[in-house]
Amino acid sequence: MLAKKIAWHILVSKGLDFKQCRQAVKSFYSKSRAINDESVVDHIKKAPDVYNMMMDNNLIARFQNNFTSWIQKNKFNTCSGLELYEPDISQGSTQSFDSFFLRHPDKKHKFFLGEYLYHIVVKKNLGQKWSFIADHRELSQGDALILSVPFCDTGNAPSQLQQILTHCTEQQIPVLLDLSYYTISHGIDIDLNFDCIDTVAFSLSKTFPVAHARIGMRYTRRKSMDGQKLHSKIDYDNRISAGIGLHIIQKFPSDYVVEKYLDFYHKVASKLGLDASKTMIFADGSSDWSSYGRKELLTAYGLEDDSKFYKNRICLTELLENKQLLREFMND
Amino acid sequence: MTRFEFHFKNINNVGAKVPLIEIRINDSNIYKGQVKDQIVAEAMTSGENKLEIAFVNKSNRDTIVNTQGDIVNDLNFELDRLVIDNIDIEHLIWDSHYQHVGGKIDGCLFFGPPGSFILEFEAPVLRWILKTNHEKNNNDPEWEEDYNYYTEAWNKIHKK
Repeated sequence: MLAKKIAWHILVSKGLDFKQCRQAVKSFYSKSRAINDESVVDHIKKAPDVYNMMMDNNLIARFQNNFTSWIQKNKFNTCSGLELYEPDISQGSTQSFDSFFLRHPDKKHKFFLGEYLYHIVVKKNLGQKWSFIADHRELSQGDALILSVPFCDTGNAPSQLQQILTHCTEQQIPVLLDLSYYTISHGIDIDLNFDCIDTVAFSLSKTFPVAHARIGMRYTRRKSMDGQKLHSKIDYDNRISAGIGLHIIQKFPSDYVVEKYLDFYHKVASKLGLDASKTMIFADGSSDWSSYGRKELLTAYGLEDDSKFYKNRICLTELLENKQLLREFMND
Repeated sequence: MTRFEFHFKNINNVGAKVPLIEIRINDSNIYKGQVKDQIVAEAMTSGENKLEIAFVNKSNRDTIVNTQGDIVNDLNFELDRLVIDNIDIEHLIWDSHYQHVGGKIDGCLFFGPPGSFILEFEAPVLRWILKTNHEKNNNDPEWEEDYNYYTEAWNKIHKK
């Protein structure tokens, strides 16, 4: 299989031995990580001095203000109504999820089949009320919804997004929209003018190789208050992640990754017989790809019973960052 | 060329006398001298090969016993690990035997009596390890496919 051959080539090129390659091949296509773009990496290495970032009293505000316009200038997607919300820095999008769980402890949290694993793992382990749903009509008053847009399992916009948000508004169901993939996707148009939308979460972790710096931005209604917002109000946030985030977004626009990799992404997906998605790093594999999907990951999280709900989402990050090495395979 | 890394342990001298060995691949000497913690040598290999580590300077006088007949000092050592072409052959090191005057001991890494450690292996060693492990345990049906992916990639990247 060409995919396996390519995976071995890339791993061997990294200097891994047979055993290491064999281990790494298993998860080669099941990841979900940003492209290690050389220009971005070089720029990250020139990040401001840590002490100066910590001592900069205006850093958080500058990052928050810049982030909003950074998102709004995206050429490939639209996100209307973001100005209705108030930004506060978040440790990736994860902190936004946790804050949402804390703010709605009595709600039954619902997720569409195939939603981000983190929610499922947290809810299961905390023994809190949750369930998968297949249709928005399964949502009713007393529920809360977390929905990734683009959808985590497919990389595409969730079907019937407008209807979902209309229904949630009618039923007074608070919604967190997880837009972590927004800046690595194209053709995504989101209208945030729905009363049900409680939180909009962004992250830089999938866009730039800064996942371990935990850089995200949460948008909530101006009147809302919780621990995360309190920290923001009293200027007690993580200035280092804000500083790194600001350093990056001042140099690279929010559509940088899509602009740079879109053509190659389509070539790779086509060559491998995958269905391209709206999200740059993901494509959908047929049943031939079942051994490359997230089955092992789900098992590692103790979610093997849920694997039937997840698609063979194939991550192409490793391929996109090895364009030179892939050249010979692409020309075959 | 195939690179061999021999790792020895528990090397015991008797007085000033140190254990000496000769290492041979297919009856050609690749090392002659004192046993050290690590010895590296190279040899040409292909197909089926015989590795021999001969303990060449052990005599009866090198085993000192007390009046009760207990050994109090002895010229001896142990083979700890064998790495061929940067691959530790791990448990396959036990698929060897120790040939001495009194006979043959299977899977013996202890060099006590004068004699030779003998291991038969195939080159390339990675292929031999994978194939042998699968033959023993019947648990790695994809070994050959993965081996081929690996070697094809390695050869291409290293422009062989």
